[in-house]
Amino acid sequence: MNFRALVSLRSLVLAARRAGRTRTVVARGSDELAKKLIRNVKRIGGN
Amino acid sequence: MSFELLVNQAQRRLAADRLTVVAGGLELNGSVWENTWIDPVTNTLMLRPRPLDTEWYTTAIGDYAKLGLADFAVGPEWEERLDQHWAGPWLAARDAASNPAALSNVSFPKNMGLSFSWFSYGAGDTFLQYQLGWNDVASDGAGVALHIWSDGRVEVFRNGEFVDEGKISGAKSREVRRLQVFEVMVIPMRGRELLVVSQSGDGFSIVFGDIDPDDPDPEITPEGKIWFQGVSGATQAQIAPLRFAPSGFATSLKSAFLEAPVLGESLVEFENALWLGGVQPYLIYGDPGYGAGDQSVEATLVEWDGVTAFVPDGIANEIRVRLDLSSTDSRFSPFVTGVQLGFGAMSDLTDGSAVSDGSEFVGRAVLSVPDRASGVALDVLVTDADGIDALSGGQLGRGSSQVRLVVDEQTVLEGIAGAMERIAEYDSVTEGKLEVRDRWGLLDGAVFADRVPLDGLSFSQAVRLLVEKSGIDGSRVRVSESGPTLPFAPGVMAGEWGLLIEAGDRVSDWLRRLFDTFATGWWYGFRPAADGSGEEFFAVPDSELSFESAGMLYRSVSEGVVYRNLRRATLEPVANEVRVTGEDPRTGRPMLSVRTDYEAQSVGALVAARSPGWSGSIKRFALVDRGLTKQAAVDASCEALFADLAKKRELVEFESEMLFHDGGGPIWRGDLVTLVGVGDVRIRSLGVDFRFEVEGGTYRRAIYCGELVV
Repeated sequence: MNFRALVSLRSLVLAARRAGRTRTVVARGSDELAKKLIRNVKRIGGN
Repeated sequence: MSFELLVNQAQRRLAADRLTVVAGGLELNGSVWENTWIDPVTNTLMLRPRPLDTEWYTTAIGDYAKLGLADFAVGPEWEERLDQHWAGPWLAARDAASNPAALSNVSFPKNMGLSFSWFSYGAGDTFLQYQLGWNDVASDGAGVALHIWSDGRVEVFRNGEFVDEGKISGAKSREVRRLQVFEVMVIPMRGRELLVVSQSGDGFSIVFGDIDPDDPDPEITPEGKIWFQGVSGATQAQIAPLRFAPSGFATSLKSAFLEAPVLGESLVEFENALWLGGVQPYLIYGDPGYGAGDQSVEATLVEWDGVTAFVPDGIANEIRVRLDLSSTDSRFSPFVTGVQLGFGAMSDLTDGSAVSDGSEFVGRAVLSVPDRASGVALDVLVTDADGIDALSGGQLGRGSSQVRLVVDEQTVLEGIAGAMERIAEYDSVTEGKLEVRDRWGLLDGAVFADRVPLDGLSFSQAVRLLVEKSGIDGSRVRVSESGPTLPFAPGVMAGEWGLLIEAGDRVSDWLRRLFDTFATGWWYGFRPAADGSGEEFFAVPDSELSFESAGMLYRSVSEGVVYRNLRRATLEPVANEVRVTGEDPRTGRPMLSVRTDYEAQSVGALVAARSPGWSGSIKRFALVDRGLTKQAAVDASCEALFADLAKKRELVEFESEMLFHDGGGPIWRGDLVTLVGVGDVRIRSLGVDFRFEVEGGTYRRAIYCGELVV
């Protein structure tokens, strides 16, 4: 029997390297919509 | 040194789940109501506007009064035509071609709605018919103004600029109506919206995006005078400040609890907005009129008759939510988009009369406390599965067993064991494997049976609501109050929430989501309390963890407790640029926030001048969460994520004996220890391997992994 994941230094380092760079929470709806929301341009004002 | 594995001890478990009642929008359209109205455009509940009463057409006094010529600064080109279409004065220009403007003599409070009716002359063509506005001069160059076209189109201007348009024709498309009366109500509401609704047809609501949804005193329409002008065609119009019934009530649709709340159960309290009276046994989502007088709303749980108060008795289960609205100034109404009430979860103790110690059957036990809230586990190798199963009265073989690990007289894990796995072994003895998890395991298995909006709750209340599903005593849930209030912004239609738990959602998923989005970098999870008082759930930001070292560890055994096998590693920052995106549920527009460490991204930085977190490239992290319904929440989330992800960390791992607080519980995640010669280390994860535990001789190997605090 060994320690489980994220107990040893080694597993913490590996997990940090594999850490995802995006986190999308879409309770209901599609991921496509979420991707559209990651934008470079902020649109402001009127129509 | 002692090691006990208690089985069948008294353990607190969830006995009755939380019962939540939610209603919003058209769900508040119950058949029992009086003097209230749900607008057809946004489904927002308000006091009933007087123009919807029959008396509006038959009388012209009190709340049904309309403005006469004396209320306007107008010349002889105007005349008053009494009871022209219905009761009250109609203001008309004598010369159909003159089209003069009328500006009121008196001033009105801000955010006051108007009733405006006019006779539509015309030959069926499309033209700009009337202008109507809130401004101290009869001009659409300032304040708020409507341009009303003969085809039912209405354009809205604010401070001289076009904002948006809608239609009041009642038809799917534009429709010119002529030789008949048009009636519209224009209602500033919900803090930043203008509702334009026609009695004969439909309407629309537009948002003034420049008003901060958090503005405690927003100005939708300005204080001051009102004006109107027939732009083309003969002028014959009736205008009045929009008035509402002084009080009224609405009820939600009939509903019933699947399990009746029992005698003595009481409603949980929520922190409401100040105008709603602060702490109340309900949470109302809405806005006051932001004008004059005091608006109020109260919620109660009633029986289906809409009147009799609901009293829990273990049998009664038929309910409605009743909302009583009132206002001390008839020109203003409260606006309600939704409400929630709830009976709290209840816990109880399991039978502890048959508690026994199964440690004699333990061959080896490994405790893992990983660097996250989930996954705390004790893996136990049992030397005689039948023996320990018999000791537990057969419970360990069936699963869901209460198991408590007590080491050196201190509770280390209040756990729940899954059904024991048996491994056929030699010498006719069957070995067994037990997996004991902390209460997070219960949260992983718990699902919601009700819709529960978390919008508008304080972060700590939302976390409590979730954690209590694990059955833990509410007084043992310790959540810092420094968390945010979860944002609430009304959607296009009333009754929409940004953070709505749906039936079937998993409790642990929601806990993770809340911490990931609203409390990045917080430490949380179940742990044995440092003072030795037993289990607790804790959730605190970095800054509120104790900075006092729980103990010193040395290199040499002659100095005291030693640390061995020291290893160190650097964790590069996960990101040097963080982007967070939320969504304004009313406008559907994304709201963004970005934080960038430009020094860390600088490609050309000289080696000697590079910052500690330098990577010479763009490492972007993006979070998208539609629960972020306000810009302030998006900004706060971005700030916290950046602080957590853009940080370079020095990790340290060491071995030692199992560590405890002085006279208290074991050292756990979040505790600080001092390694002499290294520095202070904030423990992030730990593991203890109990290999040999008998009176007078133990062999334990403990590893700790933590972050160097500098």
